[in-house]
Amino acid sequence: MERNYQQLEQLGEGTYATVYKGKNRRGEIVALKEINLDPEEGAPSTAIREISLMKELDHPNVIKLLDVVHTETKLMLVFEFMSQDLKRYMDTHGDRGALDPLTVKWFMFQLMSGIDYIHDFRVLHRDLKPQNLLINNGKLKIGDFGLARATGIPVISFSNEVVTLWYRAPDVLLGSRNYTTSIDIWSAGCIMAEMFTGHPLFAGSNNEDQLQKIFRTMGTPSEHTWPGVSQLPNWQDNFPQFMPQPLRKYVPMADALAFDLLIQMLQYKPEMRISAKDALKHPYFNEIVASIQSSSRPNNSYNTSYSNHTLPGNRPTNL
Amino acid sequence: MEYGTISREMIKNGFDLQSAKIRDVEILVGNMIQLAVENNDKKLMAHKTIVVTPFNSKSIPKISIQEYLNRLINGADILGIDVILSLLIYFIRIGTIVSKINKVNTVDSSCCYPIDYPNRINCSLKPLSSIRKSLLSLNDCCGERKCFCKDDGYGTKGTNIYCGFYLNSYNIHRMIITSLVIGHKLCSDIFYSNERYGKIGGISTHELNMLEMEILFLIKFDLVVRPREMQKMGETLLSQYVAQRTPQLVKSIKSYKQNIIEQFKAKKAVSVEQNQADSVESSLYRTDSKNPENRLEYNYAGSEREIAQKNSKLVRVDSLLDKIKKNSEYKKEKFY
Repeated sequence: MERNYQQLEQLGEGTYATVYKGKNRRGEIVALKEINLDPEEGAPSTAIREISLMKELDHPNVIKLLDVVHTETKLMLVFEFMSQDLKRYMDTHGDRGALDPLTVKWFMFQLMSGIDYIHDFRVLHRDLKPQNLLINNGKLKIGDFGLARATGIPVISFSNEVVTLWYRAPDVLLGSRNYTTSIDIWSAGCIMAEMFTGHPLFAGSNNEDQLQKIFRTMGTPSEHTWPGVSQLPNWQDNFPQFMPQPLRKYVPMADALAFDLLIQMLQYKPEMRISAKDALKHPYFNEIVASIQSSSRPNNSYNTSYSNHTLPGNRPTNL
Repeated sequence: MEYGTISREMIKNGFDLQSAKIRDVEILVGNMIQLAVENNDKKLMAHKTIVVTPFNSKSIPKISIQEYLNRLINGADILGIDVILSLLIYFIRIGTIVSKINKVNTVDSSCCYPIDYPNRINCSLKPLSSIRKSLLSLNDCCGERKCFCKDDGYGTKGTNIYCGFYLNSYNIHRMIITSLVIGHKLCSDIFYSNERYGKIGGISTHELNMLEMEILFLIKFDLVVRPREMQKMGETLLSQYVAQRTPQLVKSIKSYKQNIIEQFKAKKAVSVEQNQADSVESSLYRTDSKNPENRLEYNYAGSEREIAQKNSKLVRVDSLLDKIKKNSEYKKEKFY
């Protein structure tokens, strides 16, 4: 479609875009995301958000937007190329989808670093899921900012139709429009559990079913366990009552530290969920931090150095 | 030219992003755009040149800037003040970009047509989009992120026509609607299709789509506005607004004071009375604010007496002020 980029095979098809593998004029492989322009809608808001937010972001764990090309009927975003997404990675590398604990730790550290960076930037991703996390040579990068938005301005017009159902936080499911960065943390917790087990933690079929799946595991919340919950728009007094189950038995492969972090991410009360910054300081990641510090030069911050690790077999060598 | 005034709270408490009312922000922004456009119109008239861009209309639209802004905000249910403030910030960013283009093409006059401003002009509505390929593309820097901030990307045919571009009465309406549409899509989760915006704003969907792309690529998708920037913009707008209105205010207060002082000099007794009234008033406030519950009744009776006293004094003061006013008006008449 454009002289500067050569289009190769199709990689995937989303709701509003098609992604191709491509080549730039220097022969480097890139990902081309083609967006059809709707004659009534104009420029899609997803594209406007994705471009304007991603052009500001520059972090080893956030995918880089390299260029934007506009032709008569299409908008094409050019991204750095990543070989596959986390979902496919789990299917191909995992044991029935489950990854080994060390890989989980490594991916979680990169995911939390990326989330910490975008949250520092006052950006909410709002659609974290394995399909939107891209993997290449053991590196993990957050992609697809089509639903993302900047925060910090009085929130009048937040939608609760964000985040793919399975990774949607209970406060959002209950209709809260007042959410903050904590909704991304819930999603990250669900992703962590899924990496350990190979299947989604809460796989609901609709809003109500999703809530019930969460309640079944974590117990039905009450004013006692979650003050203010009954004030949320979708709260019903006749929600089926479940006792909290030990989450442990759903994620038996997680060691004690991993499990402790997971629990802190999957908190009912949004303000109780651990922040990405604190999560990175969790003892679970100690060995990663130590290995990065020992291998990096003195004034190299670990954020940039660990991404340069060569990871044969998709695993940090010096762990 | 006057179009509504902002609320007292805003003037009293200053601009606060978290609590500012949409109507106030609308007035502040509309006021600023109006000023800028009037200013630019004068400049352009002096230079007898105008830059014809796809945003130009053939004649100046009849609807005023503030009315148009109001129509769009109400019609499109724009509820966030962030969208309205972003509008102005986008204009400023475009201005910065355009001034860079101007520096690059200082002698290129092919894009500036001399005209008799503000006569009718023929505008060529040639969309840039069709001739623009990859505006942001800097083919040699794949792998780096500089594509968006490199300044030498302006050499393309497309942006040349923005050399010497100013907001003016011909293009402001289209600039407003297009920037609002973009801001609304970015800031809000709920927004309408361009078709609907076009209907509200009176331009075709096709044209709006085209203009939208023009702005997006002109501003290089530099759309994210930080709250701090918005707060600062709001404060600037408010102080501008107040400064613009105070000359009259200061004048009227000064003359008013002058009159009173003159009057007081003439009649010292009155000034004594005025002081008494003041002290009664202030003591009343004091008792009011401290009022402990057990003394409520006593104070109530006491304050009622005081109010009555104060009222009678105030009536006298009022009539006095009336006299002063009449006097000054009389003087004015005489003067003219």
